[in-house]
Amino acid sequence: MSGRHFAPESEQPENFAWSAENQAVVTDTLSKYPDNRAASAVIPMLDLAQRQEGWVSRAAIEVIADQLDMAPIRVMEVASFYTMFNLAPIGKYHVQVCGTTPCWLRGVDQVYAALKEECGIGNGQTSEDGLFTVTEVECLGACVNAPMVQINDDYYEDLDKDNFKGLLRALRNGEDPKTNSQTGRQSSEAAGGATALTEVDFSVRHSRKLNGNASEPSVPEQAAPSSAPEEDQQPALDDPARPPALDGARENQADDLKKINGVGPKIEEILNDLGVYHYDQVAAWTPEQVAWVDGYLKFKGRIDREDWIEQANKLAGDA
Amino acid sequence: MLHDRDRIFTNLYGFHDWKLEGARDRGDWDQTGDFIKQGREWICDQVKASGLRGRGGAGFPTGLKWTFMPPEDRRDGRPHYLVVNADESEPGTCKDRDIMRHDPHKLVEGSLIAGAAMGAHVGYIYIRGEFILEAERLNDAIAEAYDAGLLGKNAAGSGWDFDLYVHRGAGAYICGEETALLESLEGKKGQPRLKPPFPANAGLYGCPTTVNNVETIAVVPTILRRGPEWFAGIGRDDKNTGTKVFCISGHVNNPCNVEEEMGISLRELIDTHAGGVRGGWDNLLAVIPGGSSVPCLPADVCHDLPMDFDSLMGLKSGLGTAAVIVMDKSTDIVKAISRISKFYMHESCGQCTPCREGTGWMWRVMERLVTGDAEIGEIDLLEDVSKQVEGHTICALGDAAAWPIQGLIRHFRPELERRINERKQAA
Repeated sequence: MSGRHFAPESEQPENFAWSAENQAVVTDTLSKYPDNRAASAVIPMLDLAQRQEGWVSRAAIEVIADQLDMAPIRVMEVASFYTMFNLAPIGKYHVQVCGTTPCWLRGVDQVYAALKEECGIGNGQTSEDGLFTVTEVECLGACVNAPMVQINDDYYEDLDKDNFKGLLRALRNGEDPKTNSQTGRQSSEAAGGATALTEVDFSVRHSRKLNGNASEPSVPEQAAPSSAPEEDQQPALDDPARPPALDGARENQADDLKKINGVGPKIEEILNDLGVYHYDQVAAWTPEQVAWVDGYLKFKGRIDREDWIEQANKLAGDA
Repeated sequence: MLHDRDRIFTNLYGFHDWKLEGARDRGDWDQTGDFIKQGREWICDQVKASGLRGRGGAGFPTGLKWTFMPPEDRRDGRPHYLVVNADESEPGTCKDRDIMRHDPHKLVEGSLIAGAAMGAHVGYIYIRGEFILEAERLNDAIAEAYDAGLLGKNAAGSGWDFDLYVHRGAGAYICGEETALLESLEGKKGQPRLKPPFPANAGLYGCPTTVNNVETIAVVPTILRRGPEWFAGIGRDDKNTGTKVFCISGHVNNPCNVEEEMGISLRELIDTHAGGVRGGWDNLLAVIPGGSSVPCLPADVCHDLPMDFDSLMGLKSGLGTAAVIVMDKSTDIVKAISRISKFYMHESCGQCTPCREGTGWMWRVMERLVTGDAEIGEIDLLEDVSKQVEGHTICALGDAAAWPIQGLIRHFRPELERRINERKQAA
């Protein structure tokens, strides 16, 4: 558990009142919950108070408790339980450094080094100019863009010492630096360029015919994998659709079928048992033969989806 | 490898317009009302036939879970609620964030369908407080849906009334546990409830409630559109079906999120999408295959490891949220796991003594094991204590704190002993 404490009495303001704008937000927030369940709004309202004042004061807690018809202690326990609520004033920029293992593995120490060199502060400290407060937080859920920090509302990702120092300088100068990835990634696609979603054809529609009778669902008319076999029926070894088999690898030199994406050691063994040893054999399979192998491996269309034929063609060409 | 034509989240990376118009261009919100008109039972049967299992970590069959909600003829006047768990905070996991910021309409549409399938007229999306932009996106998408008649009265022409709200949390990992989430949504500390009663009987405000992960809900519309056979046809076997968004972080050349086939081999996943392990495959030390709470696996079992629920369970690990944390040979594995122990100490809600005291105790021992400042016998003691935490708490956070340590001891005991012995020799 995280131990959290309220600001001392000397720092607590006398009173708290919603701004006119936020008063409207409060009304809107309350409308989301059933009439006798106003307490559900306690987290949104504490958040709103923090947005207005920068932190959550005792006066704000009392106003919220009164509005929600809750005992002040209930609101206090919520405010102290949830770590996003600042129970004491903090700097203008709240630098929340993710220190959990995925960020740690990618070099969170660089982030701390930048903070030390640029602002002279570490975890739990506020810079002398009152601009930056550093808090180490737990996983912020941007792990494939690690290391990262959240500053106020925004995420800054793919950090290293240099780009983060630049970012801190920009904030100090009152600039509005780019959020999210600092290395030019759109979002979570692979850093070297997306490996998926590069060839989506949005014109393809997958509509179904429905007969409107709830008790008798229609059979969907959709592009079931053409090679999908009957449920659990493994095709016979003497089926004419079985691809031609070799007695052994040519010149005792089998190709490494594992180079075909989708083939692992186990499947390679099965293919060898079926007399398939070479890329060119796979490349020459007819659609019927693909369907047979797919059924034999209980694959439900994976060979087509993974384009073994095309892969094998390429590999055979390279060999 | 999955083809783009079989990917559900066609805007996972945000390359295209996330708004309603863009979502419709990508096929969303098509036939939604017609599906709902088929009735609750039909939707649940379709989801059951797809083999969809919960994407939040536990892998419970989704269609079955929905049927736990009281059927229409057994309603007792209490409202039903759908609650979407968007409190994504399992270290290593960042998939729901992409769905919400780039494909929010998939979640909004899925919420309507799921709500109708469980007899709920109201849904709440509980999103972690730090996801501020994502919450704004969802609110914008929901506003668009209301304007277009896709939510509210007779939503999407389905004859079903459905209201959907976004509720932001405020920084508590424990609120990802479904009953803690419900407590939090009711305006309390996020401390898990004893089960039973299960939420389907007494959940939010004491009413029948089902809590589902974002990804689970967001794949449902596509399953209905393309047919459950399509979804069930992808994957390793009948129990591990469909596509799954994997998050590959840590020591890979190109960390990324990617939607792939359930059961894809770990090596193919890493080599194809994440640019390989830093320094080459042989430089792999260990992986945490499903988010921080599942036990790590050493490199020697990783080569053709199928990434699905049951294969990983068989190796005493788990698919969890499919967040693959990769560690190369430069990693101080003891420190890496110790940091996870610290995480669980920080996030323990304090309700159950074994977890409140145990997580701190285990982390302190782990910190000493990092430097070898311990006795050999303490390794066994640590394992023993971890088993006294595991299974002795109201929720699974105690288990989640114990498993990474147990995995470390199971696979890296010689490394722990080496550090202790070396320190003794140096003294």
